[in-house]
Amino acid sequence: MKDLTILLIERLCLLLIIAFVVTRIPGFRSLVYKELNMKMILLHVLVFGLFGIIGTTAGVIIDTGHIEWRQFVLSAGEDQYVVSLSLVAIVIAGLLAGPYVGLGAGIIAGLHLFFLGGIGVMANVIVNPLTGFLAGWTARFFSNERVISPFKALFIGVFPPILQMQLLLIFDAQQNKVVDIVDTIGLPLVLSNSLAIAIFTAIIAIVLREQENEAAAATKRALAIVEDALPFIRKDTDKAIAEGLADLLYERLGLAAVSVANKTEILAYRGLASDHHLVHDSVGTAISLKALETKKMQIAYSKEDIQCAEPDCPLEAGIVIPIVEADEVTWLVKFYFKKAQHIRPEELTLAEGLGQLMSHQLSIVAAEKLTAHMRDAELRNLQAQINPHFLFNTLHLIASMFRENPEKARHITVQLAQFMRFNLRLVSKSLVDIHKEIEHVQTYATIIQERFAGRMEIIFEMSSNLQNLKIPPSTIQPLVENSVQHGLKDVFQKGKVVVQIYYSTNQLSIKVQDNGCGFKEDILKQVTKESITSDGGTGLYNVNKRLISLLGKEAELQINNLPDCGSEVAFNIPIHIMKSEVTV
Amino acid sequence: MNLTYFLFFICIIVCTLIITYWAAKRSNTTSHFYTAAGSLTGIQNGMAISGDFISAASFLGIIGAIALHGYDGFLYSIGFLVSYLIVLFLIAEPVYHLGKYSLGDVLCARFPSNKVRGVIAFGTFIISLLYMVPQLVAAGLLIRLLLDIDYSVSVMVIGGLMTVYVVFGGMIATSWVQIVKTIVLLSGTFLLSLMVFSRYGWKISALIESVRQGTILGDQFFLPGQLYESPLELFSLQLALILGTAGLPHILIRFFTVKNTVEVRRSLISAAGIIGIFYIMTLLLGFGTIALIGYDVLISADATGNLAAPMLAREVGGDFLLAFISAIAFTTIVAVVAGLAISATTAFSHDVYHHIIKKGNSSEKHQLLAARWSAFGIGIIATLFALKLENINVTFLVSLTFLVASASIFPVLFLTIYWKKFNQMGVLTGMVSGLGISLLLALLGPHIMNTDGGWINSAPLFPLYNPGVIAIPVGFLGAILGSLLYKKDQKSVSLYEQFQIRAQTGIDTGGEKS
Repeated sequence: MKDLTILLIERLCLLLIIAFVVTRIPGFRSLVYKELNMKMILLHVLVFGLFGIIGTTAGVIIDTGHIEWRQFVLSAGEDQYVVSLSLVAIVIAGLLAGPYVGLGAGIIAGLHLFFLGGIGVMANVIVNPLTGFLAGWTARFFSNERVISPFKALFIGVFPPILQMQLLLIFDAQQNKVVDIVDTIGLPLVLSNSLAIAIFTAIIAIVLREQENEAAAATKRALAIVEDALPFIRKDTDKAIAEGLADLLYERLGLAAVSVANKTEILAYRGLASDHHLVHDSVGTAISLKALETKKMQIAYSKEDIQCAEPDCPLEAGIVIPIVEADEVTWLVKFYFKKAQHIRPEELTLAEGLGQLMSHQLSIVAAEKLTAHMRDAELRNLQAQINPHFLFNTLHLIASMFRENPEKARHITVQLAQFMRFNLRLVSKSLVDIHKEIEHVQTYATIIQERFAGRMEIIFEMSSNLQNLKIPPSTIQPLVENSVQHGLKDVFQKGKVVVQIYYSTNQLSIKVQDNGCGFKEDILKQVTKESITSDGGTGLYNVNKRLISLLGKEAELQINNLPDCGSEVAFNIPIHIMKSEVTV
Repeated sequence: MNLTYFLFFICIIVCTLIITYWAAKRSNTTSHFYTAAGSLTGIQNGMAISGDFISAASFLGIIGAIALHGYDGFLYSIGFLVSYLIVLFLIAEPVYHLGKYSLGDVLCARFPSNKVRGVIAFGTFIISLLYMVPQLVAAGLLIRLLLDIDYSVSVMVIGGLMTVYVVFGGMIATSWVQIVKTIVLLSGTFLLSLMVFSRYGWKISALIESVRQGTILGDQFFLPGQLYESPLELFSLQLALILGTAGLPHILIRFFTVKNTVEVRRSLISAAGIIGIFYIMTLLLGFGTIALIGYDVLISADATGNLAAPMLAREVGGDFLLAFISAIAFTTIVAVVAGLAISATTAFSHDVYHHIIKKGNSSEKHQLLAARWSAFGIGIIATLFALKLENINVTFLVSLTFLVASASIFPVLFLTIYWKKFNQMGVLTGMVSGLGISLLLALLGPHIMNTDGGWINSAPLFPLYNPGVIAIPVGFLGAILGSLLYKKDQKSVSLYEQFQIRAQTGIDTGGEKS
């Protein structure tokens, strides 16, 4: 009995070694991992059935108490019993892949045993499918784990050989030597099989755990990449976004090549074969078009799919990832590989995850932009409404001038028209040339100075290098208006408003000073924070809000009272945001 | 000692310990400890109930009884099965609706009082102990026979295992040990009966013919009247078996381990199904034993017929199968004693410690600790009793358990659920009179008092071996008289309707909560 046990364990070790090697083959690992559909069930059945056959072949033949040493069990005589080790494979099939795979693999192993013949053929044939089915069922009954724990497997593994022995006793009860056989092989089979099943389960559990860790790592990588990609996604021009993404992906994923395209042309390309995969090539391959149309990831497993015109192109496989923004594909990212085998499930998961995450991020960015647009439009609308007092006062002024000084009246009328035209245009533009803006302020200044003739003076000081600069429209005029209406409200002579516009190397600074009463302490603090409704104090608030939403926190209004009298309202636009970031 | 036997036993022990380890990680609230937090499905609970119920006495004893006495042996097992109808229709759902962890909870739902709780806990404790001791004794004897280990060692092994399961794994470990036992027992006996059948070429007539030749009873084997000479004894025994099950605390508390009424019914139906199938197989195995082994050989091995199943296994399958069947018998015993231990533990730690001593104010942590210590204590007490009582008549103790359950807990439980005028005093008098009369009649009966080597060497004062026919009516009478004579407690009558609704449907209509 001891010898037989050791012999069986030796044979099973052989099986386990083969099994271990097989689990190291990438193909097998993905086999265990996949969801079970009909095809996968059949594949599992075949694989495990084959294992069962190997198990039988690696068994021993017993001849009424005497073990016959054979290398391989290929046939059995009339009075010989085949001690098959197929149950190990069948139980594993059941435990891992469920009752049906167990049943199927058992049927294959059983058929093989049927053709071998010998004593107890019936029992041997029946026990395999039965055990496979029961093992699958038991695994479901006792635990919800995907791979049953080795300890449970050890316990479950005790029963198949017992069942085998009992079936042998049932079907071949007439032969007295069957009881001898059972006594001889029963315990060795129980010991060796349960041990082998437990070890095999442990091996598979390790394989699966490894794979899960890999998947977790891939997910983590995708998240990290998306996080790093965020700054690029927020870039202004398509070209900048594409190049940023291509650099990042090429560096981080270790791909053969990466291209980033919009719907029509390739905007950036990094990696191998950049001599003929050119930027500005149009997007036109079948899989790219399919990706555009279906909005689903496409995989090219061959050179034909990539449709590269160059016969020596080193790229043989690729993944096309469409990035969907508001239900429309806006970007196509392509990963290129040198061999189709390089596309592992991990790569696919990663690519899919990246595509989805970036789509989401782009949608978020788009939504942010949209909100900013709307807010700005709303504010501009508000500002375009000309203060009615100003309008009536000006009209009165014009009316009173008609008789004494028609020339001047005409001039003021033209100025008013210009002022109003600018205000109308304001609604439709988010940026204007700085000269236009200055003109606007000057128009206003002319009208005001005429109205308050002798009471105040509006002086412009500016540097000469203001060409090609753009600023948000109607940001200076409200500041002047504020000075006139509030600062100089009670000043009846020698009022002064100074508008300074300077452009230095790193920023454009705009400053409006007056020599009026200055801000009251309490107003000074909140004038930019909330709109003060009492006496038209919404001007500064609106300007400040627009500056911040368009140009960022750096451009906010700075309001101070001057030491002797009067106040100063100023803002700076740093030159780097003026050049790049003004997106609205 | 045979290596095969030993390895099988080790395998069983290791398996149950794995289950316990797994359960111990989950048994960290009282709800988990006492009732597995209601997590079992109906089928699982049905298996566990069967595991609780099919004792070594059933497995080994009934096969032996059928082999020796034919029809009457089978009649004995039928009583066990019929009892499930009573439980299903009368007891199970109210118990589930009213109780939380123990039988004390059920009665206190109607009569909230520490006296009621105390007396029920005492009854539970006595019944569990009375049942546990014969199981342990039988286990010790069995293992001595099979493994040739000393009696005290084997009792200590089983007692120790039982204690470990319950202390660490609570109800979860107990349930799963019982489920595993049921599966193994059922499949083992099924395959064994197939082997017997196959010996006779799958022809039942050949088997019957062979039985007729094997038994010394001839055709009488298939007729009643072999084991029970007087119809009164048989009636008395069956009455205790049928009503006793409905009063066995370890069966009743199993209904707390499922999550709704549907599952309660499902557990009972599957339990009855499993037990029924099992007893049909015992019939086959009993026939097989007498046919293949013969009356004389069986009697010479063990006069009680308890070794029928192991001997049959050796005959058809050699040492290997014998080892397997013995391992099954061993599992059977540990599963049953674990179930008993947990019911005694609940009675002590939940009813006595938590509700009576601590007035319901002990923390979850303390309750759990108390439960574990009580389990430990109960394990030790039962083991000590079993060690001392090696020579006690096992059948007598088992029948005494059923007698006490049917004469004390069953009447009280039944009247609590269904009788409007029942009151607290009735619970107390019913329990006391039922317990008292059962023990008294057993003491005065021929099991203990007989001139042929009884404990009390004189003619029995009470003639029946099975005093159920007297004791059960006395238990009912005590309960009824107690409540009629002591009428002060009118409140419980007025609340009866609310209670009735809650008992039958589980809907709480605003009565006092226990």
